[in-house]
Amino acid sequence: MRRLESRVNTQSPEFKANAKHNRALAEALHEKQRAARYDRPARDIERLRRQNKLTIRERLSELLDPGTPFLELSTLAANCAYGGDVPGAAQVSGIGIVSGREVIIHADDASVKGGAWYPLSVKKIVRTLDIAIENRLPVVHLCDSAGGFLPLQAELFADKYFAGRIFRNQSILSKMGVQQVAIVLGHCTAGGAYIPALSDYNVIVRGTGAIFLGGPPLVKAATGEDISVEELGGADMHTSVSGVADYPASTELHAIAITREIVGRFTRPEKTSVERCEPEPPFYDPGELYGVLPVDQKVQFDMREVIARIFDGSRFHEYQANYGKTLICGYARLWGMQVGVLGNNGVLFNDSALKGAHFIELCNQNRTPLIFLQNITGFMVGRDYERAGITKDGAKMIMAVACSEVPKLTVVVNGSFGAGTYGMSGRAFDSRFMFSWPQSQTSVMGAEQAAGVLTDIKIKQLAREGKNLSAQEIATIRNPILEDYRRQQSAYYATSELWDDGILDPIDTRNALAIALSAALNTPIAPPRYGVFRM
Amino acid sequence: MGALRRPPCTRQSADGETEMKHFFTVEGQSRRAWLASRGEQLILIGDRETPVRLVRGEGSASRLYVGDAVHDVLIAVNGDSVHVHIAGREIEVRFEAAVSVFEHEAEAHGDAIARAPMPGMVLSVAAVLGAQVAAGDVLLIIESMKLETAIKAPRAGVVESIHVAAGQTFDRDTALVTLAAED
Repeated sequence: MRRLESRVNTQSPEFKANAKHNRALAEALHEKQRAARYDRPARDIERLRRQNKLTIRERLSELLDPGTPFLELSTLAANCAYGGDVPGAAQVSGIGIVSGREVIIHADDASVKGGAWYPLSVKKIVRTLDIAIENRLPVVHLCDSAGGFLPLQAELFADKYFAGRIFRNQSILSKMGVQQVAIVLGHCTAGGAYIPALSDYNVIVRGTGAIFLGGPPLVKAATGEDISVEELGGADMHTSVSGVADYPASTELHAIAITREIVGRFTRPEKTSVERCEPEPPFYDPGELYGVLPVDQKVQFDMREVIARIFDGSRFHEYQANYGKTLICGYARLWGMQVGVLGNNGVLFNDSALKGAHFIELCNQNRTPLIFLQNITGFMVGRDYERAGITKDGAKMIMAVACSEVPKLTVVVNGSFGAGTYGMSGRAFDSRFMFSWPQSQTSVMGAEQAAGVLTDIKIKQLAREGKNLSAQEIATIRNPILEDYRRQQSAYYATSELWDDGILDPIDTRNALAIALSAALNTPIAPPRYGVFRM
Repeated sequence: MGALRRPPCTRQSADGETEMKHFFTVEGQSRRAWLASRGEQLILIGDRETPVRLVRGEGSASRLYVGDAVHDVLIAVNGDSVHVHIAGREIEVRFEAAVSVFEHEAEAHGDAIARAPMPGMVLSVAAVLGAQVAAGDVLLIIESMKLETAIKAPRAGVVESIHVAAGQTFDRDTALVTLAAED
């Protein structure tokens, strides 16, 4: 495969301005992530110390193999919710290596609201276990939660994807033969009690860990019985009397050491075979991605320049380079693993949609995983395109994406708008992992267009009532809509709501995708099969 | 990276693949050479098979065995180019992908027209009639479907005619700028 030839002038003022802008965005991202990981009120840290507990970050560094990568997911979940008071949605999720095994970690963060489950905490745990199911990743649960956040219980308890789904997913994992270990580091009360109970193995810390359906105050209220935590659901009772827990541990460090031994017994899965060869770093410096991405989101750029800075040797075998040019399709390698890449170079036309659908079929036939690089304002509109059946060609692409059996990974590089979001394997299309870049935006249409539509409706309504608005009055209607819309289409809002698995610094994309793809290959790839393509 | 398990790899060529047919540009001349392995590495030039072996030494110093001859060489690799210091001479060997070599041979030399990739409106015109442009130079900026797109010169040439003006709308595939071939 030959190298792509970059046409970017790295000495141009434009490149330098882009680089400065995008570096600043990356730095702002790192600062937000640092704050979400480490900034806590002193009293919460003091409380953990008093209880002889480690912080979640200390626990993770004890658990993970030293010097191995940890791909943290949804670090900025809930960053736009609950007044910004629940960093990371009080949860840590990520893929890492424990005793040489690839695992996914679900951990309650007791330094945030005692590890209480907010609605977005539940969403993050369910997503973590969905990832475990889809990619057959063993799970290590670090349990230390105060339980569901009661004032918001209606938004986290009963619905299909609410808290019950955690226990449903654990059961399904067990049925699939994907192993789970839980470490009980705090109280697992009510629903939380089922996490260790539904795990194949669990370890409980003497003195701080406890499991019960109702804690001592609830028991006292219900039956008048006076009982201590240790007696009701402590380590010794559960490991010697009830059989709810397996291994008692004298300290957190002891519990983590036992857990590492347990994970060390897991049989490593055979990876699905895909075409591979020796990895090669990109020829073009991934650091140049900062200069490739324009300051102004509306300015088009060549996605090949991005491809050249992510994949092995900057090599790309392009398919149908002269047809449907607004969608680039081709083969590349990611850390030696062959992938099919689809990247947007403009709006989707009939030919680009057909090319995309065809290329997805080729990759499925060839068992080649797919990577979608989104910068899409949508499908083309207008008389000629409707007459040419742009909708049915878009439907073909969506059908191919949705039914694809090979693993899909999606990166929102810049814009993700309208049906283009669907055609390019947006969140609803079960990409195994989905990441966003800091300046990217996702919404049903552009902010200006949406604010225009909504303002027009309002003006017409008022006109029917005989009111005519001045330009200033129109602006007072339009501006708040625009502002709201802009906020809700930002990458930070998307990641806050778990519409993705995290925001990436562009230069980390290559490694994040490789870890994600490696995990995805735990699951066998089924032979291709689709629904009916509207011809 | 610890997370990735690497399979035992078989022989690979300069671009990491199993393609063994190579083209090299040596001192401006294109040469074809195949690498093969029959127990030992062979280089095939024309009908001739010659065993080759490179033993890497300290830094850029290496020892190159070609047939019965032995050369002490210095080698520096820069992307697809290899600078070889051999027998008092410095030779640049440039690796070329077969698809590129044959593509260049077939390249057309006529006029080139920059066409509209999508319907839209001209925002600004950068091209100047009669001016010399290089491949990739911006000719004009268009706006369509909320995007600003730079229309670039498909190859080097002289701007022969500009078919649109700022503010003008156009359909897909409309000719925007015609470049005349260079003499």
